[in-house]
Amino acid sequence: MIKNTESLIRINPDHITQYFIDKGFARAEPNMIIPADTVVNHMGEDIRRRLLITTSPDGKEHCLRPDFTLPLVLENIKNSELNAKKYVYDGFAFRFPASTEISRNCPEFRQIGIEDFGSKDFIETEVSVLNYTLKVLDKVNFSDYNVLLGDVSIFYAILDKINISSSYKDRIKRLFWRGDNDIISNLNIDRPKLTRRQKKLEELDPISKIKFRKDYLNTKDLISDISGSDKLHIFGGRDPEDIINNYIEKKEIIDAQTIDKNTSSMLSNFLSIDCSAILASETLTSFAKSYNLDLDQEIESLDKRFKLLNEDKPFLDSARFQTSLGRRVEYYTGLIFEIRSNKMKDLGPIAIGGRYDNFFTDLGSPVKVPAVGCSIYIDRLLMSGDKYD
Amino acid sequence: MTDKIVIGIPNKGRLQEKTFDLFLKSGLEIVRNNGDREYYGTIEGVNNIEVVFLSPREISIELSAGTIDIGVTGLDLIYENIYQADKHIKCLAKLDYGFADVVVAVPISWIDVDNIIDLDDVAFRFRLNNKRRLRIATKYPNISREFFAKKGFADYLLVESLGATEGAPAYGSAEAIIDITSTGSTLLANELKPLSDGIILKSESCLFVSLNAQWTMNKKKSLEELFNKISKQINIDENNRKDFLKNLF
Repeated sequence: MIKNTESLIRINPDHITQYFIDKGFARAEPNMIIPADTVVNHMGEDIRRRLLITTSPDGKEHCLRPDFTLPLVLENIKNSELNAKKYVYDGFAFRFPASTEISRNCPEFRQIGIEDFGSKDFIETEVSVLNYTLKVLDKVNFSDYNVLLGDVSIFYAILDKINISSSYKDRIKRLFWRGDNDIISNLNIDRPKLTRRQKKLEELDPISKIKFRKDYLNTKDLISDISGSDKLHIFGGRDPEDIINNYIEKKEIIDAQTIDKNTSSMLSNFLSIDCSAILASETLTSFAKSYNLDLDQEIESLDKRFKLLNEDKPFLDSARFQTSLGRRVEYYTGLIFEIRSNKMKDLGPIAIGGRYDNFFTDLGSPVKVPAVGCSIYIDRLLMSGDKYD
Repeated sequence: MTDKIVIGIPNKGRLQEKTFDLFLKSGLEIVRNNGDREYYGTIEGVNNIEVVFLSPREISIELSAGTIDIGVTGLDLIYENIYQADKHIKCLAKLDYGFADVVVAVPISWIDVDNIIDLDDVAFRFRLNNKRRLRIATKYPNISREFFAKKGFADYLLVESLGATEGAPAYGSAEAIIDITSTGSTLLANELKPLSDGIILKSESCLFVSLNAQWTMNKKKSLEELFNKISKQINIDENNRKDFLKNLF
């Protein structure tokens, strides 16, 4: 009992907030209640059953905030003069816990975190957000952690550089974000057998013929024709041109059956990179060399950030670099970091953060606003602090 | 407390007709005491059964609550309206009518979409291009969500529809739908096609038993009598029938 109290005093979350305020972050009080459809649209239908939703008298659904970044970004889009800002928040967010969550069984959880919106100095911002986070953990005397680092922009750079169809690229991205363990085998899914009618159409309409006819026929008529229907009117909000192009690309994928062996082994080798952070640029350089990829720019930028990170507080030799980090959280666009308890391996990350430059535009901002942030899960921090004592 | 079985019967339409027919063939004539608007009825010559007329959806909900003991409704409504339905309800007999599939359907014009994987591809691009998720209209949000979660498909937004779901893509309130279909003609008329692996549930009308109702010895006995009469009219093999009743409670 006494021990517990001691550790709670040792790790005082209020000190975390104060530290960030002292470093020039302005205290933000984002809305507690936000439109549920905005949340579901942003985070996916799966999040709905974990939200605390209520219906207003006019029939609209509202929910308690599931995190802080979403309401903060929404408010900043509304007041665009707020864009270049550094915020700290401290309060409760609300989600029914996942079945794997061990630090809580109630829907509310305290989060303290920072956001740096609109800073044009990319490297400096990423470095400072992670550095502040590590220092604030020092400040509250919590040191039994390990740091995982990743950078999704390298993965996107590789996808840009390889020569495969755009629908294949989309599928790879999707599988990456879903966290599917075996991207490559999932890429070559056995497709259901074609029905006799489809087969007949297939024979009638080989790709080259469609491509040829595409130049002469109205797209809508061509689609009606391929589907074996009279003139179609309903396109379900999609551009007919996009439908036909995707159709052609798909047929080409089916024809090609698989992506070439070199590309698939390159992708799976890349995604299995998991090394000491101090060896990250070395490992990436030899990877790029063996597949003849030009990743100089990406590696240089990573190197620069890691060196800066290490200057203030050397930790890289104990940190790990993982290329697969940040999967499942698709809004990250650059650096990603996770801080985990050494002792309590089953505990979710104590802190998680990184760069998400598309967040503003995804939520309707007319201008792109670079954003870097980090969130500390206080319940997990306290729990691992207890065990640490 | 009453020792009579309360049975929920559909309050109108084809489902009611078929149910009346089945009961009549089993020697059980359902009588509406005061014409069509009466919510209560009886079975001619049987005094241990009370009949209530409810919508099929209400029947599923009342079964789950245990306010009615047994009822005739569709499998689709049972699984949609009752969380972990198998814990609360048992299907006593499939009645050989009311066949329909709950399916995922997309516009026929989507020639690039034949199955869920294709839909996933398109939905993903749709979100990147439109900054919003592809909307799917349905009266079956719960089983739909469960189905998609199993398939690993997440790039969608469900739009709850109350009326004619099939029209949603035509008037632009959704891009795709999930709905019940038996012949497929309504889908076709709305320029929609089912996905090849998009059958969420094969539904039919069944006689369900509520496990949450109060089952006295007398009521169990009455249920057995009722079931024996009805089961002669439908295909249930003798062993199955005996075991079913034995294992029911």
